[in-house]
Amino acid sequence: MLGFGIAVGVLVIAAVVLVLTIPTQETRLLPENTPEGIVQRYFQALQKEDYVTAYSYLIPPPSEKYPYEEWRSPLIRSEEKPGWKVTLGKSAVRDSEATVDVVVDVFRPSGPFDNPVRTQHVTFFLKKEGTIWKITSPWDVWWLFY
Amino acid sequence: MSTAKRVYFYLVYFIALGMFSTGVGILLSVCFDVIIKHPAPAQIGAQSFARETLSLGLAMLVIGGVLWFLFWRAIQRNVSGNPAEIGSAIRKFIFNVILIGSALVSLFAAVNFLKWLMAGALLNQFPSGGLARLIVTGVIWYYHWRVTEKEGQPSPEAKTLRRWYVYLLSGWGLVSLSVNLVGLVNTAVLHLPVWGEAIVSGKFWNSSVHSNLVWIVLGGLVWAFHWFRMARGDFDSTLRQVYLYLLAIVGSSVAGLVALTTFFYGVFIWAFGGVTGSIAPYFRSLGWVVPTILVAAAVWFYHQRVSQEEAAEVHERHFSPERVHFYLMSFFGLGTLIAGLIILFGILLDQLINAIGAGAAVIASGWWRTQLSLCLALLLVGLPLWLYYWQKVLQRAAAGGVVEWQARSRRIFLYLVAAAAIVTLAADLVNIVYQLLNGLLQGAFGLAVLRNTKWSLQTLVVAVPVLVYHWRIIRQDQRRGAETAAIRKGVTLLVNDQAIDLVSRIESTLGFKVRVLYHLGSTPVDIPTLSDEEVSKLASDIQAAPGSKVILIAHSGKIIVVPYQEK
Repeated sequence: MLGFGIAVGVLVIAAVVLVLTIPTQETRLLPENTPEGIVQRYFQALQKEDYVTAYSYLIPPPSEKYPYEEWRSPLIRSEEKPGWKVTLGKSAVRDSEATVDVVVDVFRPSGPFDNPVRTQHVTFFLKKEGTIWKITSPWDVWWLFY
Repeated sequence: MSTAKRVYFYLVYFIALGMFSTGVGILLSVCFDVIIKHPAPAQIGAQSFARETLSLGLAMLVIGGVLWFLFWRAIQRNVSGNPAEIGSAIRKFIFNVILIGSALVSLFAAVNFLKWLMAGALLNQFPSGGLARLIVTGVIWYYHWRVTEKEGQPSPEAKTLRRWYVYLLSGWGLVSLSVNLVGLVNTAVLHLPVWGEAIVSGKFWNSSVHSNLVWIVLGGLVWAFHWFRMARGDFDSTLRQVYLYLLAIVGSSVAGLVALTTFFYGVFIWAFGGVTGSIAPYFRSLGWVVPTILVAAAVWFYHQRVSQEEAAEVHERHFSPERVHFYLMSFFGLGTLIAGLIILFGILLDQLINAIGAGAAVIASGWWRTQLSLCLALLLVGLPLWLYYWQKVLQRAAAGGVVEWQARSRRIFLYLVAAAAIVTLAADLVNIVYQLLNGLLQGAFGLAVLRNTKWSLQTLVVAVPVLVYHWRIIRQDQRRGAETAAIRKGVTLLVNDQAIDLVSRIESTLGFKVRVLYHLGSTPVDIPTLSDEEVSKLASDIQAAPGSKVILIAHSGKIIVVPYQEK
């Protein structure tokens, strides 16, 4: 039992030290003329709740009458916004189209036996407009909060 | 400890363990995230996310950990050297729930982790949460497994609860192993360069193959560990018989027979010229059919051999799963046979209708091909299956006497078949009489009437002999007293746990279950060895005893019958 207690103590100290020494991500920005650089900036803007900037990286679907308001409404409506983080995965570019895989971890605690972190794998589709990459799908962001 | 106190201790222990282990899991996951994932190309929101999860993890670990430690220490103090506490149903229930839950969670976590490794171990997809769950639930499982193995199963409840765990995991492992073996071979066959352009597929080394391989290895290990190690020598167990007969033998039989029927159907269609163009794509179902037959046969033969070897060790009271297995397989065989016969009579009636109405209708050439292929496939599988198992049922009924005739599985089988046949007959007769009368009254009595009654005629021809045959058996059983309820008394037998054989023999003779109480502490060593005549006399004494309740006490080499009543 003593060994077990020591192991748990070491784990606690290691976790606290590691978390408190994570460097900030601003120093690790990817080039803006790459698909992954756009996806990274899109999520950074969402983190800062800078919705106008985040929306500028998107191409809204032509069917939407009020695209910005529709897109923004879940971001504003959600009273209890869970914490989330995004890890960029591999990307592929073919002519003027590209895909970027991302792993999204959403933190939503719901009881002593439940895993509080929900992980989902999402593929972003991008299109090149002139020299700028823009996100075509997924257009909405409600899945970040549920 | 009182029951209420036990419930209180183990419930809080269980919840505190959940809280503590989730907290440890969160901290481990955070550590993996920071060490392994953080140097990955880019993460957004990692810092605040890690701080939020760390806060919850620390809170759950500290509060849950302290609570868990205090309650575990209190429980261990109460349990120490006390067999009644060690064997208590509540303790063993909670422990086995923890064992089952942690084993399954760690199994799924291990599958995800190994799949990640096989997919190329991409750092940005590192399953931090999955690996943390694997470590935490693995430690929980190992700790509780060691505790339960060390303290043993000192009560019948403890033995039963352990068996639930052992046979549930054995079954889980066996099913995972079998299903994924078939899946892997199917994928491999579909990737063979023999299908021409009929199948377009990606790389063989895909996520489905990773999943199959991992489940084969882990499912096989889980089955091997629980079946060969933990269930070894556990012959005197009804749950073992349920696993053997109802899961392994019936399950593999049904899977194999479905595959065999599909195989025969495909072969007959091909033999009757129903395949146009290349036959390769037509036979791609062989990819799952052949391995299903082989795997099902292997599972069936192995478990059949085990059940036969153990038959000598198993007491009569545990024959119920074997009996249910025989009647279930007879039912499947009979159903398959009946389906084949109905289709066969349908083809004959179609032939007759086509012959009578030649010239009146356009008939596609080879219209009979699919029907005849299906009919032959069903008959080829259903007939031997029914004959094999029904022969076993007849042998049991001849040898088993009134206990066998009264068996619930036999009564349910017979009445279910009879009821289905009567309902079919009634529906058929209504349709036939309606069509005949309508044809006569409308003045249109001819081929249309035959065509409209075709389904009723083909099912009627099969339902009549099925009903007659099973009705005769029902009547025969009734004459032999199968429906006469024995005078059921509340019989309690006070013995030690060496007297299982005696309990079985008394139950067989009485025709109903006996409640068994076991001595605690010093148990009598002189449980009598009764001859068949003495057991019959004992049954007569029980029936003749006044009142509705009797306690049987084994004492001084005799069984004393004591009638009693509660006031």
